[in-house]
Amino acid sequence: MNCDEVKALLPEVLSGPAGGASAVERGAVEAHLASCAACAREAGLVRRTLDALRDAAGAPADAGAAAAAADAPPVPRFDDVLRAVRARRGRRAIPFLARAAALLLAALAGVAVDRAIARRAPEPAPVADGRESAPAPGPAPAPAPAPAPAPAPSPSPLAGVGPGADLDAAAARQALAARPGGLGASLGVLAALDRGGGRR
Amino acid sequence: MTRPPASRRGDLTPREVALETAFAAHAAGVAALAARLLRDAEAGRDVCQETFVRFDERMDEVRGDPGPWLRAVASNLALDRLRRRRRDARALDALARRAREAEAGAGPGAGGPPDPVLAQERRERVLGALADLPDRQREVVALRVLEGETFPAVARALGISEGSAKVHLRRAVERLRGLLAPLLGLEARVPVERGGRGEEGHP
Repeated sequence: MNCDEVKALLPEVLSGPAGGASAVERGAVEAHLASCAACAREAGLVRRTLDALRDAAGAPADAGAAAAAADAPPVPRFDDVLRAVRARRGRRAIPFLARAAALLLAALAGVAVDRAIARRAPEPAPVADGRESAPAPGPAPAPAPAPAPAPAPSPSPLAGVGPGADLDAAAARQALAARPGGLGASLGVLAALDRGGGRR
Repeated sequence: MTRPPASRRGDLTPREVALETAFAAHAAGVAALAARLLRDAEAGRDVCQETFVRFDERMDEVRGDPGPWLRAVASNLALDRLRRRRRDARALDALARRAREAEAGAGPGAGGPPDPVLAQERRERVLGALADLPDRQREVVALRVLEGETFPAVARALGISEGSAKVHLRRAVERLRGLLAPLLGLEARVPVERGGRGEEGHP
């Protein structure tokens, strides 16, 4: 065992009587310290540091402190601990309930907005042969490029994705997220609550 | 000890019964440790209570004997209080001045009885250095050095490996040596922030 290895083991060996370095390591460290003055000096410094810690943590300096460190120190009553535990649990439960109530309200608001919008929106054009509603068929299909599409006639929450347009998933998600109410708003509230409701 | 009467035990949930069992087994030791660190019986009792409140919150994560875990939490709470107390105590500056004057030879004779003010100052500084360690390092020091726990017990209590506990102890001792060198008359051989092994080559 060389000096560096011994020095690395000194805190383990000197910090407690057992359970640190193995007996073999311990013996090797002691043998090395007996023959190496530099490491023995190093061991003395580590020991002084550890002793200073133990002294500071345990050695009473006056009668009052000695009483505090005596064999029978004052212990709280279990009833007091239990009361504190229950009070702390109660405080933890309130933010949880508040979050749950806020989520519920947000979801209800979203549903209400959805219904109001659905009531005001015009019926979509009848769908022929199973296809999504297309622009109103003219007397003859015009092969020429269609003019700019007419604006959607309703204040649909899916503005810009009016009847006739292809409803791809990305557009639908975007529209949902942009809606003032409904699922997008609920998810926004949820995310905000999650951000604000982290660990204590 | 403080076991509630049998008629009342029916009021406790199973979790509270477990809390009560741990309390009966460890409250005295936890309160003694906190009172010893804080030198204040009342503060020790408060820390003991807070320790068991924390235990209730984290009970599911504590495996095996909760004693070392409880003592680690209690020492952390006590050292936190000590740090706050130290931060607030402007009077300590005056104590430090007195200590320096005494060390310079103007104080009571070196061979006489120890000056309680100096002893208190020294104690505050040593525990202050301990309180300033990173949490994990001071937990390991509290359990291993102050409480004399074995490394397997330290590792179990803190949920870390034995090797990790030893590394934390080594770094803590190196750092404390650096912080306490002026106070204890030690050489600050090892850079405080570096966790390196002895860099002086010896045969």
